[in-house]
Amino acid sequence: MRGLSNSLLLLGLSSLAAAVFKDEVGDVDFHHALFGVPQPETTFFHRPRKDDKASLLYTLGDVGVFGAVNPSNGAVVWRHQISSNTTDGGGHLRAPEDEDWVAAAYGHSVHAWSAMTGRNVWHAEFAGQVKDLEIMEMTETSRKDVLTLFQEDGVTVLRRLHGTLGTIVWEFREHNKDIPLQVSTNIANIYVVSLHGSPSSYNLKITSLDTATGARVNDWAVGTKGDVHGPKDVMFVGANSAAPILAWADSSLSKLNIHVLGSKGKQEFPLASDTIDVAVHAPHKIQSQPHFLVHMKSAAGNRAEVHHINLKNGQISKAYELAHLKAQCAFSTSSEGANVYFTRTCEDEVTITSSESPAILSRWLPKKAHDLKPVHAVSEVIRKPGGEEFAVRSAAVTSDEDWVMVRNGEKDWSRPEGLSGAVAAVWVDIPEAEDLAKVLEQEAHTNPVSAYIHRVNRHINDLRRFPAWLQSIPSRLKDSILGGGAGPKETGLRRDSFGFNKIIVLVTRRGRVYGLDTGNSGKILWATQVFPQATDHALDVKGIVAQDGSQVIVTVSGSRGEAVQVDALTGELLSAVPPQGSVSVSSTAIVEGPVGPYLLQLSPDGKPIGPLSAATAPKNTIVIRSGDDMLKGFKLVADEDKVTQQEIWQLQVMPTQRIVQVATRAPHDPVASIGRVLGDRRVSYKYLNPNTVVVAIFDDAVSALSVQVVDTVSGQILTSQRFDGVDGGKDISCAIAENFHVCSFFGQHKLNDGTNRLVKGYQIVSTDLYESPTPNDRGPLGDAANFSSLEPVDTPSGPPLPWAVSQGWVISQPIRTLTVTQTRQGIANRQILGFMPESHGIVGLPRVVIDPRRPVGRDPTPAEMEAEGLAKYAAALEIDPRTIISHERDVVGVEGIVATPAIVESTSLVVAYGIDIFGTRVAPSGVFDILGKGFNKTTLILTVVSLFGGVMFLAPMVRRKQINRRWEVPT
Amino acid sequence: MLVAALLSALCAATLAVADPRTAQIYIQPLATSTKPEPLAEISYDTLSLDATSVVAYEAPELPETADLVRIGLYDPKSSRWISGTTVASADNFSKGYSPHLLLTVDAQGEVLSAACKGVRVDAGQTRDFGPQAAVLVEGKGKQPDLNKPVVLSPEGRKVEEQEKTFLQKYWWMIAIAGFLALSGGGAEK
Repeated sequence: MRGLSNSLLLLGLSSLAAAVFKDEVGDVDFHHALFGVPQPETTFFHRPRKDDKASLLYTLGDVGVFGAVNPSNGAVVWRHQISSNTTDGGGHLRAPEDEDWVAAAYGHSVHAWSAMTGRNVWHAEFAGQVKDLEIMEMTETSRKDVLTLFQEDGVTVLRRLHGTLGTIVWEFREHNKDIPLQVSTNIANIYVVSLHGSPSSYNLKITSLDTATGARVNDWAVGTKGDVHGPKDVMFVGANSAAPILAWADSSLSKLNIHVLGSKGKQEFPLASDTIDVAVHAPHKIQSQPHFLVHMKSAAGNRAEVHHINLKNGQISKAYELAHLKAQCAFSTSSEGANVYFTRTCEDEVTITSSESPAILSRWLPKKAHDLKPVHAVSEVIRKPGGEEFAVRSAAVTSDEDWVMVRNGEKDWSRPEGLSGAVAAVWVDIPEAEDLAKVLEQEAHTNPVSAYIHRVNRHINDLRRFPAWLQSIPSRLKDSILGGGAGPKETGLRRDSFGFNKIIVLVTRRGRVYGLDTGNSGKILWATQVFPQATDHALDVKGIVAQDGSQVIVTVSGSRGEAVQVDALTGELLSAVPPQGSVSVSSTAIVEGPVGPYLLQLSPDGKPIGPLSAATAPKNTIVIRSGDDMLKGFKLVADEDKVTQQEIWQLQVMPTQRIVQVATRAPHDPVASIGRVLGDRRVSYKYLNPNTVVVAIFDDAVSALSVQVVDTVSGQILTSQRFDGVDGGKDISCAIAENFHVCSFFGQHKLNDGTNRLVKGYQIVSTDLYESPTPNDRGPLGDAANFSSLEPVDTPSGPPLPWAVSQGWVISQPIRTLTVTQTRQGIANRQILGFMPESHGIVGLPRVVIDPRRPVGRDPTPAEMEAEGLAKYAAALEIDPRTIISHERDVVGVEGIVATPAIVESTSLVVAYGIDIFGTRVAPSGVFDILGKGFNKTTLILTVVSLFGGVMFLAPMVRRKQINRRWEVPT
Repeated sequence: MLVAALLSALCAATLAVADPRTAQIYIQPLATSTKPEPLAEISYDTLSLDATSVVAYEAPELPETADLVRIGLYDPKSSRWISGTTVASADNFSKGYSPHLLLTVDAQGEVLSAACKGVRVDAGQTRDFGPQAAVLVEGKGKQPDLNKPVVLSPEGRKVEEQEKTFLQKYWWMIAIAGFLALSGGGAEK
């Protein structure tokens, strides 16, 4: 019996895990593996193998992902996150010449990685914040070392780290109030550049150090005359070159000051009068000639000047200039031996010049269709064998936030790096091109004559498509017979019968809105810049909603009162409200209006922003979180033509507590069954109150997490649970659906089963709510059809309160951003989706695995297994690799997961967004309503045909035999 | 060890007994600007919930226009609500319903929120139309159920639990049998 039950159990469990099959990869799912928009100072070509000429393209993007890209096709070679969180730009990435490693630094840590494979070479953590990282190309040994500049509390620390081991070779410390800025080397010395003085006027302080010992050699200051107000004002170029320089412009952008490190004083150069921005480009290699280029942008175009440095006396002289071009251009430097080439990548022209002379070595004219709008670029210029021919490839970041490879004027590939850093997402149904029902309705409302004419016209219009339809019959017939069973085959943007083709609209923190077609491997349909953000400012999206109709409109609202409406099909900007200085939107409410849901912007005190009339004011209770310490429910009361806000209820927390999350159920949360049939044929009735939210409150004083289920109509706390020993610094995430909620957190506590054992680890707790503790009993409300959170109970019983059943598990790794899958009718099981930041995957935990009714300390009875699919409880919940819906894909930095139902009941569409975008289809109960790919239609048809043939052949024989028998002479 | 545990449990019990708390529940009609009025005073003890009782109750005099009321703990000195408030229909206090006052408290007995629900009185069953009070104590979070700990001997071996002897296991059966044998002995004819 035991053996039997065990095998049954295994059978049951194996059916739970709907793994992703190999042939479904790329078909049901898609993944945009991104770096973030590449930063100019951390993007370069580098040869990962000394004896191999092929180079890879390395970058550290502004969301904190760095790695290598194959320059020939744009595919990711390897990728890592520089910090455990998404960064706001910054970080350092450098590669030593002719070495097989790259060095990266961010925050407290410095690390080196194999340039070819991305494997870690060494990792070091230090106090303070890293300010700069540089490679020391010339050392007294044969290896190359890493120089790191740290700012500790009032101390500037420069460390030379062993290039292959990461150990400290020497350390230079200086106690001062300066702001360390940069470190640089030339052949002779190491230079530490810092800002000295007060924010009103900084001077540049340069300390030169001995390369072998790190001892101070000299220091001097360079006056800036109040032109430098912060680290951003100093341009530093040509680190490691023969003559590294510091450059800064005056406030009116009329002249550029340049200081050559190692020399004294500064030299001034006039800038063109129409300059609006200036940048300096110089080679980074020590053997390169000491030439640099000053790029002057004007409103209409740009020009450049090339300067040469005399190494002997540090004098700078202007060599030549590149004329003004009315186009958006990016300049980049490339060096080969001592030669330095400057590449000018423009919208309509790519040119190469040598640093020696203004003669154009090569010129290409990119096609207009490429629509290049380069902002900054890195280039690799190769002189073709034999002499005068040149080839160039430039990786340019465009103003559309794409990363584009331009090879000899041709666009090679493009990576949508602007898609990274998504902060909000919404699912949108593709609008139906022609809704017959609507047309018929329209006809019914007009007078009979015009309706008849309209109808005839419609039929004539339909006839035009008749030949095409006739032509498509053979191919469709062939497809339906020979093609596999599963999945829609249509391409193009239209609804399919399975409901897999939908649009996901994503908003990035850079203020760009993207539309992706999930039916077509997540192809980017459109991208629109709606809220351009300043460099170090991120868009804070407070609400996003889609309004269905003949035109699907997505409304996005930001924290500064900005709001925008975008057509989800085309990306067309329908209306835009720019950010308003005085307005602060703390939250938004999705309100059902007469034409669909709309966003109501609310100020921090809960007041609606913008005009609201008595007719449009929402009647429902609006719940807002005011600060971290209160949840409020209020109503908008229309008083003649004035709308006032009336506070209804509040949920206060204690002074040491804060609200960490308010989990709400999805707007589409259908319930297929109101009860749960138990193993003994009794029924537990689910507590199904649609107006409930889960509030996770953390108490910092005692490290306890309180999880409360709150009725949002009355404000009553329905159930409450308190978990001790929870780490508030780690992710706490909850999700609610149907009659259950799930929370995951990190906890360390003593067991209260009397054994006093310590449990420490990531935990997931699942709670079911039922109408009463006893099965077959529906509690105080009985079979009442209606229920009100406010009105009294009309049966003499008691106040209706849910009965909570909970169970906890220890999980091997953190799971955050919990979400529940949604299906059309809610018949299919639910999966709890979450992101696993440590293994870079998305897990879909089947609900039966975290069912609080799993029997503890005994095997489930066969009846329980059959009725409820219960398996024996085990305290440790191992994540089954088959439940990882992102399978082997490396998904990083997920900030949110959104699910939506498809038309078929079995399937739920899921998109995870954040740094990467990952989308897939999940079928928590298996794809029971779609024929699998293994379904062989040919065999079926052949079987039917052969059976038919057999019947046709046998029928006359049988008939003849029967007739013969009748006429037989009885003997 | 055991003695200490017993002692601490005893202490806790005495402490708990010695610490019944009271909560003043206030009521305020929603639409009006009138001050919150005291509704009831509830005495409760988180360790013996059966002892929860309504110390005082004052049927609210609600204006005709009020259809919703706010309920919670209020501090008249600072004019602030000091707990979570909830809203209920004014009908909860009308004739034929007995108001059930619900207090949600944390493990220390601090009131998190207060609510009131009118429940129809079955006049045929009871004469007690008075208000009822119930306290919902914040539950202890569910911890993972671990298996029994493995006990190791000083040598590091797994200690098998000593099998009970036949006599230890079934002494009560023998006792019953003996009792039956001695007392009954069958009816003598």
